[in-house]
Amino acid sequence: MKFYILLILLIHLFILSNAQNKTDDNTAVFKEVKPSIRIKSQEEYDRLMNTTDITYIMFFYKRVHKESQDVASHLVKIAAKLEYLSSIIMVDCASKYGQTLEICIDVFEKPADYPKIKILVPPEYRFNPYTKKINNHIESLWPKGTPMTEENIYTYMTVNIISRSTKLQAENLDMFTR
Amino acid sequence: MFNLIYSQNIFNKAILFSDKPKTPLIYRGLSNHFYDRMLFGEVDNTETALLNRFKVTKFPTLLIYQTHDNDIKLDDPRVIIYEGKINIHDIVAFLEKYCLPQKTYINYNEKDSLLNKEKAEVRKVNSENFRDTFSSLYERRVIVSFTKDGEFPKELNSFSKLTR
Repeated sequence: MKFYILLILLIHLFILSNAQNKTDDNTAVFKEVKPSIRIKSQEEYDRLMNTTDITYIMFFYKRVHKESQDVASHLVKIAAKLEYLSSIIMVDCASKYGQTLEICIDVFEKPADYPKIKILVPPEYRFNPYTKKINNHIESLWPKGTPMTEENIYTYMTVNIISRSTKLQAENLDMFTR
Repeated sequence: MFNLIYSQNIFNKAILFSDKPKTPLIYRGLSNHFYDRMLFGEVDNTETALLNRFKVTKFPTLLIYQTHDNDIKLDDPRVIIYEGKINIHDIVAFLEKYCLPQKTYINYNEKDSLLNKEKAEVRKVNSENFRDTFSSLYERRVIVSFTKDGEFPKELNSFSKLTR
């Protein structure tokens, strides 16, 4: 009898240990999102926004958090598909920079509300030569109630990639090519 | 902005000939990635005059209409057709050869910020020093006031306290 109890205990311990390892292993998924950008300060963020013109999504996550890990696994596939066309900014809410952000404040108190996604769409007219100011990316939060599936995130990103291409016809070709 | 870009006329142009009704995702993305380093245009397969002009018979066709080579404006623009695979890495490498190395608005803004920090100053210019004075003001904005009998208007003194 004692033998069986000991065996059951050992099996239970083995299962628990495996589950723990699995959670630890999944935290590596955040590093697998490539290419992606990791911002360390507000200055870095401002520089990125002021010198690039692509659509970004910002992903705010908690490392040891199943939902964050699940969404990150979707981002691994999406980032590879959208290289050069769009990019992902990864923000660990526990990082020094993450802790300064309002959007990260609740991450430990209300983990059910995480992860969060914000989209940053470049303005149509980047630089205003008259006011001499750079127009900023336009931000919006992931629509509430929409599941963060791979398909939904991919669609959300791609519909927000604007076109800066001019439709050419015989009438405007010379102006375009001169 | 687009008017400004056209008037600057410093960019080479990428042109996509497509039989798709909407701008393809890859082309939308590239037009943002290379924004302000190259112009992007697209021609629908129904624009027969343009197809004939560029001798395009298959779709998609991507070409570069090269008007500049290393900052030198070409007298006769070149047409370079992309012959590679439809692969983002290959297309980016191809476009990189013809686009400006840096976005122009970044330079413009930095230069302008530097100028903004300068204080305006008032200088007296005469027939002896005017060449040197204006040479030293290269790329600066200058207001010239012509005065009578070398008299210096008092109103101009207030300019020296202003920043631009």
